Formats: sequence, C-alpha cells, structure tokens
Amino acid sequence: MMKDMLKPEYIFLDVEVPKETKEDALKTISEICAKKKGFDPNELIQTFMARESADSTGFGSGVAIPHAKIKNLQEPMVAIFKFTKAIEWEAIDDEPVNLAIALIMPLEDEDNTHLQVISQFARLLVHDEFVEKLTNSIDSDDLYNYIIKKLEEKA
Amino acid sequence: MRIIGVTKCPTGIAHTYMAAEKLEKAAKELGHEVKIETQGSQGTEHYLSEEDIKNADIVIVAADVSIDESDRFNGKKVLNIAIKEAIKDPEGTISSASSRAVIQGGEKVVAAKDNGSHFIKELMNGASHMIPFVVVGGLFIALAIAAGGTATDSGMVVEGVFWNTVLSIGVQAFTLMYPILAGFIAYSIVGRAGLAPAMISAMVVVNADILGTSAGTGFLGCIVVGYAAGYLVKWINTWKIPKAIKPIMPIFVIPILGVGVISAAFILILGKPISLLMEGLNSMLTALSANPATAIPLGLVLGAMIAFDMGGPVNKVAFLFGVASITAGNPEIMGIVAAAIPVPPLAMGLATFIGKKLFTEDEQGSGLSAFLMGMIGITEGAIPFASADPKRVLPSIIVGSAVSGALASLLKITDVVPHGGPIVGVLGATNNVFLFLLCIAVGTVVGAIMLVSLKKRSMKRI
Repeated sequence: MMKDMLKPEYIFLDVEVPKETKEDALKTISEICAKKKGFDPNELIQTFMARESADSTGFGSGVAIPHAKIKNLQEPMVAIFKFTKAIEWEAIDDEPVNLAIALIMPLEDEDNTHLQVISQFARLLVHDEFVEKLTNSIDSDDLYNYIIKKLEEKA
Repeated sequence: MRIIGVTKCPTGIAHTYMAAEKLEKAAKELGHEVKIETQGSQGTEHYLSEEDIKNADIVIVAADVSIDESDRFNGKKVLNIAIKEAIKDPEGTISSASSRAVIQGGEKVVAAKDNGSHFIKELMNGASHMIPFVVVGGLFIALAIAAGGTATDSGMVVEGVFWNTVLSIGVQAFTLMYPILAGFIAYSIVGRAGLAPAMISAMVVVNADILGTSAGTGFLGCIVVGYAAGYLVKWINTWKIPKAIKPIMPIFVIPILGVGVISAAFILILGKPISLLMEGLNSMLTALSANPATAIPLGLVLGAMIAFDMGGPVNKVAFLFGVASITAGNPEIMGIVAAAIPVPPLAMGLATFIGKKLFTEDEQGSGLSAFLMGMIGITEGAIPFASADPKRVLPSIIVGSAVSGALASLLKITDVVPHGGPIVGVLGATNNVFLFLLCIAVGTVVGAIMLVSLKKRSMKRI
C-alpha cells in the first residue's frame, strides 16, 4: 500500500538547497529522509549519485525521480520535495527541476506489493495532469490525498 | 498497426514503467493496438506470448540493459532504443518505428504448432547449449590422440605430459556436456531455479558408481533429468509459501529438494531401466552398422535426417545418436553423421559454381561462405538456399546427405569427434581421411547435380 510508504509528513513543500546543483539537492533530500527514518544518509547520497551518473532521473516538465535501493532501511519510503529554487538536473528536456520524488527501497525487499505500487506510481507520472497537480499543489495533505486517490483508481 | 514492446532499465524501479506507460499512451493516441512487457525488479509483467509476437507488426525494445528472452523476436521487425528516447519522445518513436526498425537476425525459434512443440524447444535449448562443450571436448581429445597417441591393444594411449593435459581438458569438457544438456532443458522450462537440480542430478545419473549400475544413463538419462527437474521446480513454484520462507526458496529449498527428489528417483527407480535401454540402443546401432545388409539403410536414414531440417529437431536426433555412439565406443554412427553433415552447404557451394546462371547474385556470393561452412561442418550454411527454394533445395540435399551417409556406413568410416565435415578428417578424427572425404565428395556432387538439374528443368518450363 502507498499509505505505508508515503505519509503527509514526507511531503516537503519549501525545501532550501545551499546551491542549486543536483548534488546538493540529493544531499539535502538524503539528509531529510535519513532523519525521518533514522539511518545514515551517506549510503543514500552515494546510491542516488550512482543512479544519476548512469542517466539523469529528471524526466522532463521540471520533475525528477531520484531512486535508490539501500541496505539500512526496513521499509520502502516515498518522499516528495518541492524546491524554493529550481535545480539544474541535466534533465531529459534540459529544464531545471522544481519537484523531486524520492523512491527509496530496502536492498533486500522480497515484498513485491511495494514494487507494484511504485510501478503504478511511475506510470501515473507520465500523465500531464498528474504532474501538473503535483507541481502546483501548495498543501501537503491535499497532495497526499490526491496521490492516494489516483493510485486507488489505477489499482 | 499492432505494436508490442519490452521496457527495461538498470534498477527496474521507475523508468521501466514510465517508458511502458508512455509508449502505450502514445500508441493508443496514434490509433495502434499495443502491448508492452515490463521487465522490472518485481519481475516480468504483461509477458508477450508467442501469439502476441506472431500477430505483431513491430517490436519496440526500450532498454538500457540487455533484455530477457530477446531471441523471441528473431525474424520480427525490431526497433532497439534507449529507455530515455521512449520517455522523451514516445510519439516520435512510434511514428518512426516502422521505418527505423530492422529485421532481427538469428535462428528462428523452431516451434511446430502442435501441442508437443515446447518439448522440442526445451530439448533444443539443452542440445544447443551442449554443443560447444562437445566440440571443445571432442577436438581436444582428437587432437591429443592424433598428435600424442599410439595405438595399443587397449586402444589409443596418449603419451607425454603436454598431450595428456590436452586430453584431460577434453575429458573435462566432455564430462561437463551432460549437466549442461540437462541444466538447459530445465532452464528453458522454469528458468534459473531449474539449473542446480538438473545439473547436479545429471552428474549423478551419468555416474555408474552412484547409480549402482554397470553404466551411467548417458545423454538419454540427462534429457529425462532435465525435463523432470524442470517440471518438478515448476510445480514447487506453484506452492503457497509463507512469506517468511519465500526468500530462502530459490537458494535453499528448491535446490536441495530438487536434487534430493530427482537423484533419489533415478537411483532407486529409473537408473536401471534407463541404462539398460541405453545399452540396448547402442548395441542395436552397433549391430545395424556391423551387418552389411542393414548398413546402407542405416546410413541412408541418418544422412537424410541430418539434411532434413539442418539444425532442427530431426537433425539433432540423428546428431545426438552420433554423439552418443562416440562415448559408447562405437563411432561408426558418428562417421555416418559426420559424412552427412557438410553435404548440404557443400552441395550449395558447388551448385552455385557449376550452375552460376541459375542463382541470383546474392546466392552466388553466399555460395562461397556456404562452402566454407561446409568445410567446418556447419550444416546450417545451406539454410538461406533452402528458404529461398525449398521445393528443389531440400530434396537435393536430403538425397546428397543420404548418399554420403550410406557410403560412409558401407565403408565403416568412424569419427571420434562429435562434429562433422572435412575438418574432422583433416584433424585426424576419422579412421580413413581419404575414404571419408570421398564419401562427402560423392554426396556433395550428387546433391549439387540434382539441384542444378531441378533448377534447369524449372527454367525450361518458363
């Protein structure tokens, strides 16, 4: 269930990043997630960066989906970050990124239901109206409810 | 258009699905039928069936890593792109797909449309993986014997450290071919989980000491092991397993249970009858080839089988008979098979030479490569000719190979390398290089002349 992974308190609407670079943004994201879940952020930063160096996760329209599988995590986590300043992300359409959706999975997660939810979520992200709602929303609870509702429709 | 596709990205968490969704959406908007298979970290979803593939006009593979089972698409129009392109410009991908896609090469999956077709496919999967091991083993053993061997009463004895090492390497490769055969039959049934049970059990059933019989079950036993292990694991996979045990199933429970059940079944029940059957079959073949009255039919049948589908199931059956005969110490059968193997491509090469005008420019060009493939014993070299003109090519090469087979059988040609063609004669694997090459030459000439005259006759009619 998405409810197990994404919580209203995992939606951060005014995230400040020291410099508007992808590296700094990923560092900030990792630190925030690590603090919430109580793990060491370094592994997450490195895994995020490794994925980005294979290919940018910025998929256009100002949205990126950094994702990682890490050891020090019990349950998967989905977190949403809206930046106060747009971040240069080497995205597919060369546009800077305003919104990052972090998908963090335990390295040894045998539970397919989580991955299924993530894959449904990924499928939603290619629809313009869904992305627009995500980018324009100014309220965490509102955004949270919208995502849960959309996923239920899809299931 | 009917569009099918596969998406796969390195982590398999998000982009696999985003690309799939984008392609589906774009294809539907452009008015096409579409089905996209996703190979993600949760496994494969929306699996493309044989039916889906058959009905598709085009295949789009959007992947940054190699996809599973890509050989399903051999012979189809396939467009290979990076996953990025599918996400960035799905409409462009779809509308340009037709003009950018190319026919994917490779041997077409042989699948007769009857119910037993998957059994043949599974057997072929095992046999085709086994062949390189058999070739390495056979050539190393032959080379060691040819270069370092002396004939004694107890057979060929290899002298010298170097050639003994070569021989030992060859024997290792030969030993390995049994688990490879069984393992990849099981693999084609159930995937990776079938490998350990099939391969370990195959090692058990070819070992006479463990079985407690006078001889191991040989390749036949391994084929049975491959199927048994494959379908056993497939059945285990259908069990309802508590979530806590699930992770240890593929690494612990399935291998141990699989090996235990299959090995025990063979040792206790099947070992004896199967090795008896093997021995019976081998002595029957020996008897057939030793008796002058039956030598010609045996050679005709084996030769015709080799040429009939050139690397297909009928050919493989004859070939495996030949391979089995070597290990059973009865290499006359392999002599027949080895003489028949090069005839189809050699006959094609010769025919393009003596009847140049009867062939297209492309065919004339591939005549030489067919000839070279014939020299090193690759029967498949004649496939392009047979696909172009089956009604005339197939009868010609079947007759040619059958003639070579019958002649080799009559002259008691032997071959100790599980491989055919002039190359094994040149490497000294046959008992008489001159007669062996003569058998091949006669069949080649017969096949080529028959094809040229058949082609000429059809030209005259026009």
